[in-house]
Amino acid sequence: MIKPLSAIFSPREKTRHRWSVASRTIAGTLGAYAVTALGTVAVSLVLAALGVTRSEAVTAATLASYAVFAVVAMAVFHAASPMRAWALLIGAAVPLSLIVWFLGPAR
Amino acid sequence: MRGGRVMKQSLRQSMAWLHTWAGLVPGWVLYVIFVFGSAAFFQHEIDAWMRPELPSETRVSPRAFASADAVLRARAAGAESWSVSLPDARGGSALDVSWQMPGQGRREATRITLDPATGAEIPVRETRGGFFLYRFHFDLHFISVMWARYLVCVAAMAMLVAILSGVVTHKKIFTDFFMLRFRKGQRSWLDAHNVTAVLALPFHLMITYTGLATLLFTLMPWAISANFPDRQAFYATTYPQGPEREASGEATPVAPIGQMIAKAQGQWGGAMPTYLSIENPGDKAAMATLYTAKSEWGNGRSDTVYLDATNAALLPSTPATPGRATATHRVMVDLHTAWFAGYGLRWLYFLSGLGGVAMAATGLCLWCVKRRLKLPDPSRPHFGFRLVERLNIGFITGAPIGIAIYFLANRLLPVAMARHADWEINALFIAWGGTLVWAFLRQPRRAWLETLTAAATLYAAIPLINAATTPRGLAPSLMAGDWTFASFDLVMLALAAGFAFTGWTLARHKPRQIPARKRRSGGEATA
Repeated sequence: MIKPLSAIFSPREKTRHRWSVASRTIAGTLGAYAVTALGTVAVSLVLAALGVTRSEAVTAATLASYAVFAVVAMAVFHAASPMRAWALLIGAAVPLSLIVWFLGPAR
Repeated sequence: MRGGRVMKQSLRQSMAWLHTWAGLVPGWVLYVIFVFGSAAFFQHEIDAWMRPELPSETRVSPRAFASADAVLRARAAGAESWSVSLPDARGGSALDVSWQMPGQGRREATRITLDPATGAEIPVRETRGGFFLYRFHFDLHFISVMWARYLVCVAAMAMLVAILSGVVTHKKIFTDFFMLRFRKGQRSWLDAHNVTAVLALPFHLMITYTGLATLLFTLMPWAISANFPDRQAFYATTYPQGPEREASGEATPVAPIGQMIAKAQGQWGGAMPTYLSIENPGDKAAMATLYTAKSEWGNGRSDTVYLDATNAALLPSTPATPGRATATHRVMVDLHTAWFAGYGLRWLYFLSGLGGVAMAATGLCLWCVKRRLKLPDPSRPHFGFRLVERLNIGFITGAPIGIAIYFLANRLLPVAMARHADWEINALFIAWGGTLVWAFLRQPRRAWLETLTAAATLYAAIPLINAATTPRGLAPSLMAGDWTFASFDLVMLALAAGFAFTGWTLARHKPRQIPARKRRSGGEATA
C-alpha cells in the first residue's frame, strides 16, 4: 500500500518506502507507456494482417492507445506491490512482443 | 514480498494516491491549458476586440476583391506566392492580402488589410489577438513547439489518468454532488472541487481525450513507424494530396480573384472560401488552392478546390474518402475545436472550460489545505509544501493577470509602436512572471489577497481603458447592439467580480488558530 511518508517513522522503513514509490512511479509512467506503445504497434499490425487498410489500422490503434495507457497506469498503481506491477507489465509485454516479432514491421 | 510490504489496499485508496499525484505534478500546466483553451473558444471575438479599427461588416463586396487584385498586381509582382484570407463571419478579421517574395520566410511575408466593403486599405494595430491565446494552449511560448507539444501531451495523459482515478476516489461524487458546504475548511474545498469536476465531467473527459486526438501522433508515433517507412508516407496515403505543378518560366497573368472564388463556390453549393493561395503567380503553371469553412462533421481537406490560376479552370484532385478510423479521428478533432458551435453551445463550451479551470485550481489548493493541518510545524512548512503553495499563487492568479495585461497592453501601447504584437505578448509574460516572483517573496495569505486584488482591478480596468482609448466602449456598444464588444467588456467585468469576491471571501476568512509551538532551532521538518 502506498501510505503517506509521514505515517512511517523508522529510517530504514522510510528508505524502503521511498524506493518502493520510485519503482512504482517508473512502472506507472515509463513502464505503462512502453507497454502501451508495444500494444499499439501490435494492434495496428494485427488489424493490418486482418485486412484493414494500413493507414486505418494505424489511426484506429493510436486513437485507442490513450485509453489503454490510462488503464495500464491505473493497474500499476493498484498492484499490491511494485514487484507485482512490474510482473504485470512484463507479462503483457512478452505476448505483445511476440505478435510484433511475427507480424514484423512491414518495410 | 512478505511481511508488512504487501497489504491489501482498496481500489479507492490506491486511486486516491494516484489522483493526488497525477493531478498535482502536471496541475499547473493543465490549469494553464484550461485557462487559455477556454479563451480560445472565443478567439475570433477576442480578435475583433483587439482590432477595434476593423469594421463589423464581414461580407466581402466585389469591389473589395477587385481592390485585392489591384494591390497584388501592383505590389506583389514576382512573388513566390499570393494569399487572400477572407473575414470570419464571427469577426476579428477583414480581407487580408499577403505575399511572399522569393527567399522570404512565412513570417516575413508582407500583409495588408482591406475593408471588406470598400476595398480600401485600413490601418489596423498589429496584434496576434485571440489566435495567440489559442496557440499558447498547446504550443506554449519561449520553448520550441515540438517540446511544448510533448509537454502538453504528457500533461493531458496525466489528466486522463487523474480524471479516471478521480471518479473512483470521489466515489460518492454523484451523491455528494448536491452538497456544497461553505466555510467548512477542507470539506468546502473538496466540495468545490467535486462540484466543478462533476458538473462538467463528460466535458472534461471529452476535451482531454479529443485534445490528445488533435496531437494524435505526437506521443504515440510507433504504429506509424511499424507500418510505414516514414511519416510522410503515412500522411500521403491517409490524406488526399493536391495536384503538383512546377513553374514553367512562361509568363501569363493571373485570373481575377472574384472569378476563381465564383468557380469554387460552384463546387461548394454557394459557400464562400475562407482562404485562397496562389503558387507561382504570373507563371503559366500558377495554381490556386481554395479552402472553405467546415460545414460537415468529420470532413477534412476533402472540400479543397484546386484551380489553374491563369483561367480559373478546375484541376483534377483525388476526393477524400476517409475510412472509419480516420473519420472518427476527425470527429474527435471537431468536438475539440467546436467549429460547429453556434453561440449557445459556444457559451456552454466556454463555461465548461471555466469549470475545468476551477477544477484544476481547487484541486491544487486542496493539496495544500489537506496537508497544512498535518504539518509538524505549520509556521515553518517543508520545502515541497512551500513550493506548491507559491506556485499555486503564481499560476492561479498569475495567468489571468497576464491575460488582463495582454488586453490592456493592446489598448495602451502606442499603436504605431514597432513590434506592437510582440510587446503585447511580452507584457503578458512580464506580468505573469512578476506575479510568480511576488508569490515567492510575500507571506502566502498576503500574496493571495494582493494578487486577487490586482486581478480584480486589472479586469475592471479593461472596459474603462477600452472606453477611454476607443470609441467602442461598453455603453456605445450596447446602444449599437454590438454584442461582440459588449459581451467582451461584460465578461471582463464578470471576471473582475469573480476575483473580487474570491479575495473578499479570503479576507473575511479567519484561519483556525494554530497552537503556538516552540520553534525548532533550524531543525528541518521533513515529510
